[in-house]
Amino acid sequence: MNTVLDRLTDAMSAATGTVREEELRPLTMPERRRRLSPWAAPAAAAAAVVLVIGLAVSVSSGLFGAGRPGGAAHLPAAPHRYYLAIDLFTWKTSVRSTATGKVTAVVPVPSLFTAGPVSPALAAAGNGTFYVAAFERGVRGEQIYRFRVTAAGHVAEFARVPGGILRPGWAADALAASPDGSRVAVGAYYYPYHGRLPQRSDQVVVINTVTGAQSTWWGGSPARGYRFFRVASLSWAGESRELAVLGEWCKVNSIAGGEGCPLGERVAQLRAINPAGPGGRVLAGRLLLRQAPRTYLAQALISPDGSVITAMVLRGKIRGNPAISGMYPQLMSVERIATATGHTLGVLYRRDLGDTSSSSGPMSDPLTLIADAAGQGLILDGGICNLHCSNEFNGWLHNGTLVPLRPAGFAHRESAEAW
Amino acid sequence: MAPEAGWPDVAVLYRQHHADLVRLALLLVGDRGCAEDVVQDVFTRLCARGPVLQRDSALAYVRTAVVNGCRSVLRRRALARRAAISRAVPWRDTQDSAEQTAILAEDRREVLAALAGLPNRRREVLVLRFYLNLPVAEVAAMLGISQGSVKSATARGLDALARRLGEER
Repeated sequence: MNTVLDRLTDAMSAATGTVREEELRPLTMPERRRRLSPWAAPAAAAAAVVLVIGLAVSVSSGLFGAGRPGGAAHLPAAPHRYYLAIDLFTWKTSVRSTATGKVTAVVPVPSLFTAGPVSPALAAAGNGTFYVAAFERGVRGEQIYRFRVTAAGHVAEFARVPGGILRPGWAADALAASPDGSRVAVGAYYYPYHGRLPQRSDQVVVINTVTGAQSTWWGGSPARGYRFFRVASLSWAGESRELAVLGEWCKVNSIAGGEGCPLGERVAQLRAINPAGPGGRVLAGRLLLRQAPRTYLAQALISPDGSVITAMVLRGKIRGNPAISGMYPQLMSVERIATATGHTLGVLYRRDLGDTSSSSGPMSDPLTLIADAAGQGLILDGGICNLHCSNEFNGWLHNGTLVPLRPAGFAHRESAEAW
Repeated sequence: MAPEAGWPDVAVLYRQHHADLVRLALLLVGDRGCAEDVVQDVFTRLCARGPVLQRDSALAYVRTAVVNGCRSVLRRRALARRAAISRAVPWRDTQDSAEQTAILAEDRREVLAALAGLPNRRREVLVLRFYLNLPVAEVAAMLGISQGSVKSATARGLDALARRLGEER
């Protein structure tokens, strides 16, 4: 990080050094206007636009209950009383009441901010057991921890996972625990600590929580030019015998924890790998689903019995600036797909994302679909959204609707969730 | 410039900070002409509006106005790109003088292009924190966001830069 910061400050200093005061244009004042300003009409139009946007935000806020953050009486009963979230404001991993958003416990992981990069990785293993990745001060490799959330929403049995430490320079970006808790899969990205390091793609690291043994999978290349591999989602099936990896292969470098890969330069496939194996290429795994033409397969989770894939798919036009995260087709749907045939069984939720670029309301994080250990309860996380935007979302799916997760406005604060 | 009587703050600000503000805008929009236009526009509005500045917070006010002006430029660019499907990248696709070309070597251009590719808030936070060396609280006040948001945008911005620069090598 210091190297990047050094390079950044050096570049900014050099760039601004080209600006010399004597070369700048002098300030020129416009003539005082005597008649109605020619900007009056555009200003009125702009005011109307502001009014419309204001109304849209109000409607959106109302839909998401932002006006009554404490009232949960009108919400349907959630499948889980508590959920976990990494809070970017406090840099803590907290247990929150699903109904009210109130924090019931804080997971005693080391500070997420001071010891390493932010690692948005949380996973549920069933029976109230969860996993989280975090850096400890003074330890170069990121550590995986296991803990239990009690029926009262408290944290118990917090401990390091045996062998659950990633190699230095690698950080967890996705996490999935097998239902029996015997293995944890980590989608790890390379985080350059020092010096100028060669470009690297994500890896899938499977940790045996009993023996501490690790095996590593890398992406491979599905076609010429698709060099950059990223793990979009991880899920387990077949009583822990298969790990489903949604891999994204991109022609261009996409940014970690930020913008995804543009549609035209991306291949996405859901592959099942054998987690007991010694490692190898994800592409060598069994093909479960591939991204169809003109669609953006953003997330794909397999059910525990392996029969159904729940996928988040984006279709339609792309709205927004492609240079600043405006790369997602605007029509999102969460669909259930038969693994055996690839046919769509039903649509759980639809949403128009609108403009996804940062100029008018961005989603600067990838879209995330989070399932509980049973593969039933689904959280839909639209990621972080900049100031004043109206297309952020963070909630759980219920009968075709998105029920907001409390507290209101939390979508721009959390970096990972689980339940 | 010949400042009118009664508005001494604007004149003083202009004399003392004009170039610095252009530098700030340059880092945010990646184009010198636009940067000068943004700062020019801010001072023009200040002069037209009258004595709105308070002496102790005048610089912060003007800096905020420049940041907002840069956002407007980027928004207009976004609209233009949407229409033209342009893929021009600031700092990479600009026509510079020989001197600028010499100063801004390829490595620095890569860093600046990566900075320009960040979402607005992250770019603004990195520039305000590490170019102007402003404390977190001041950046938060300028951008109208919480200190936690400044910290998270800083961490995520540096993280994104690190990954992009590391992988492009």
